[in-house]
Amino acid sequence: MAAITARKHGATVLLLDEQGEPGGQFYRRVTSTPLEQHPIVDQEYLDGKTLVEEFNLCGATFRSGAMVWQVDRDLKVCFSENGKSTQVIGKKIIIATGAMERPMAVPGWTLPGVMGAGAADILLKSAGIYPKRKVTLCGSGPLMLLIASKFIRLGVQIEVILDTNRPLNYISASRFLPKALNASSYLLKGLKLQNEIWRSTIKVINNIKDIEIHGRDRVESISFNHFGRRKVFNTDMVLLHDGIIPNIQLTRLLDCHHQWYPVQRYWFPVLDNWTNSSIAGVLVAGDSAKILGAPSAKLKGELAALEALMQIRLITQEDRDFSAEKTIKELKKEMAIRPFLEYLFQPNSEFYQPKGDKTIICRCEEITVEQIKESVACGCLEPNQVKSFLRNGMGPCQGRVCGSLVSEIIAAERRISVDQVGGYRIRPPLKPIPVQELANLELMNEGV
Amino acid sequence: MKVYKKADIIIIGAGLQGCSTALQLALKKKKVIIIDKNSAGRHASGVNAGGVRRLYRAVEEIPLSLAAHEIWHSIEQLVDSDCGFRATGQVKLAENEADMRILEKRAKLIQSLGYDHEKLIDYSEVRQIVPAAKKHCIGGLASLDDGSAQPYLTTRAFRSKGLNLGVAFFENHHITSIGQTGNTMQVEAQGKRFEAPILVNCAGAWGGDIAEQLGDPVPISAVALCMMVTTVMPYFLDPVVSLTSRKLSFKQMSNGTVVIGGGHIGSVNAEKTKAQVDFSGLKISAETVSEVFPIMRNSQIVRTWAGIEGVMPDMIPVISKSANTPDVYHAFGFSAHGFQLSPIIGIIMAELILEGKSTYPIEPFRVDRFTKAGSDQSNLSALIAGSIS
Repeated sequence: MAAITARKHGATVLLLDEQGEPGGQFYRRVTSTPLEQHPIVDQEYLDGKTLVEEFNLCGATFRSGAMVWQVDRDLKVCFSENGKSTQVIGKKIIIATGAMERPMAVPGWTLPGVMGAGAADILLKSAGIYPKRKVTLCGSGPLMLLIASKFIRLGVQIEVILDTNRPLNYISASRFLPKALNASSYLLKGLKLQNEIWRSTIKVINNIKDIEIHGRDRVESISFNHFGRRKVFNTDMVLLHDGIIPNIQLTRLLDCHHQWYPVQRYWFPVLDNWTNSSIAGVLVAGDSAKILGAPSAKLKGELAALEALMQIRLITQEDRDFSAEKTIKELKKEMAIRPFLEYLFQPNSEFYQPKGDKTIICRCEEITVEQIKESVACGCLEPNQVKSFLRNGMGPCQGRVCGSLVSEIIAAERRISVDQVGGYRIRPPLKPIPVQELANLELMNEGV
Repeated sequence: MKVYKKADIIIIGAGLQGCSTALQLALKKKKVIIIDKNSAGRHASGVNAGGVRRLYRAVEEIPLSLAAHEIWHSIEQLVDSDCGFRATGQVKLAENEADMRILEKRAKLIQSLGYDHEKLIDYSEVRQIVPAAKKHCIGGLASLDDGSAQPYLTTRAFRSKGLNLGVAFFENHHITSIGQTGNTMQVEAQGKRFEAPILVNCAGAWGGDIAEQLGDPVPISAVALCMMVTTVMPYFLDPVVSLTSRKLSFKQMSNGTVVIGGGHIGSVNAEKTKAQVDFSGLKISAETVSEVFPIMRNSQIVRTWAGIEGVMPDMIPVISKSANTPDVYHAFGFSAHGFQLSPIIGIIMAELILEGKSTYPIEPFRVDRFTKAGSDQSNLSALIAGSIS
């Protein structure tokens, strides 16, 4: 949306996206999905088509499959495309890298056959792929409901749904219910999905603890504590989900100021009302700033673009304020549901305070909970010191997955807040690039 | 303000030189306070390339470097950790005849001074010692008893040993003022007041700021030296390799990853708190690597970083008593090759402080050496490349 708005006012726009088509995660492959006529596809997803079509006509340069691996304070952006890397310099940079699934470090989460429910949804949307064998869903959150309902309609064999949401959340969320009624469409949709699960014959178990996934070479079963008794279910696949968190790799890389959001337990870049980050020239829109959902992301994108346009003097401040008025109003309406959702689906400590000392936290370097705790005992006070000690967060994912978990563990060990502990400093490249590709890096100096 | 803590000596800067100095003073039963604005080894000390190198050092530094070399080979006795030290050798390759002439001249110089740690190697020896190097590398200069260590492990080991000996560390303490009344130095940091009769400046890239406050201004620059590391490669290289006329420092770690540096400079923000990698420089490193080590072309770069280091115009450090303030000592500005020297610097500083003089020739490192002659910083980057760790 930011690109469309910026083009409307005559800015040159380069949109870099790792995916093959515009649309982000939510509207992924919306114009070419194999499921277009399929009954599981909901209208909200298909609504994205209008946006993508509008974008395709807006005149922005779209580089699909472009993986951004570096952005610096001088607004130099390096990206890799078909094995070739280019460096461009922007006058303004709008980061809209969206969200990622919360890492769910339960014992056994690294076994083949375990994946995020969000990842499963992406496979479904983009390739029409869904599990043909026994699946267990474990976690909570809107996306969990969505994938459950899609699977029910597809006839996927769901062994059991392990609902990890805690009853207390319903109580703490209830005070935000009146406000949420202003956005009743969300509530209705949630109820509809929930109803679909209730009406099906699938077993749903609540109030579970101490989840463990077992298997030798791949998932074989999942076990948990239910009112003091250990229960086991055999399963071929486990889909985990406990909400989504902002993908902050780029803003961390830029060393933007970040804050910890304790309700939803994630880091987010601190922005002003016009989406400016603490680094001059860098704006952040969409879920990479805070989890607000797809409709809000569009509106925030519009705001970011208007602000950027004003900063490069393509529009005046009055233009900006005038154009933004309606957007801000809509945004306010959209946001009404958020406090309710955020309190209703508060993350479960099962996942962010991993049980079992042998549980792997950093998948790339295979570093366990125990090792991190030991390094804290040795005097490491924050994630970067632990990282220098153990190499966690130094693998190919550059700490994208384990970042928040490591901060959580250190905070718990030291009995201080996650904010005080801080997060990883992220080093470029965000994803590995070959030496030869760096040697051939093309330096383009024109501004966009 | 009430005095928070008193000691015999206050050291500013908990990098390797500060930790080494603290350790040696503590071994002499002195009470030491060490204050750092960040955590120990946060900048150059903890993130440098880890070269333990006598090869191609400035002539003034050679006696110190040889003494440090002896300590490195038994580093565990000093700090209870091997610091990841491996004596895999250091080799400087000649890529053409002109390079070879330069190395021959150097070898002659070293010999004339009575040293024997740097030896010329010919074409076939290069093939033996650095088989992965491309054929255009026709010879080199080697010191095969040198090697590398792990900087972060080393800094932590020096710090831990200091702690065990009773050194009081105050990390994440920003110094707000330094003063002197009579025979007492006062340092205020993070709302606390520290006092000692003696003050030592081991503040690295920030050493110039401290020295200036103490009446010893020096022309130091803070630079960000860029480095990168690859994913694990099959074993192909023992020694640390550098080139004669191009910027490169290249080594394979024991875990198989390859660390590539060589003095390409990134940028440092005005407050000297943040270093930023510059990929136009690392691009040149990558080009050089691809040309000299074809095996590297398809290896994956997983991480790059830059550490802030203090560089002097003549590329040698300040190791000196203050010229203008009594009871003040300096050891900073190691110009990107202080890592190897660190074990001996602690010994030298302890001698200087406790006995008034060092048994090592440290005259060339006087803090006031710049006050007379004009200084030339015009080609800092090339200078760094020639003398990097």
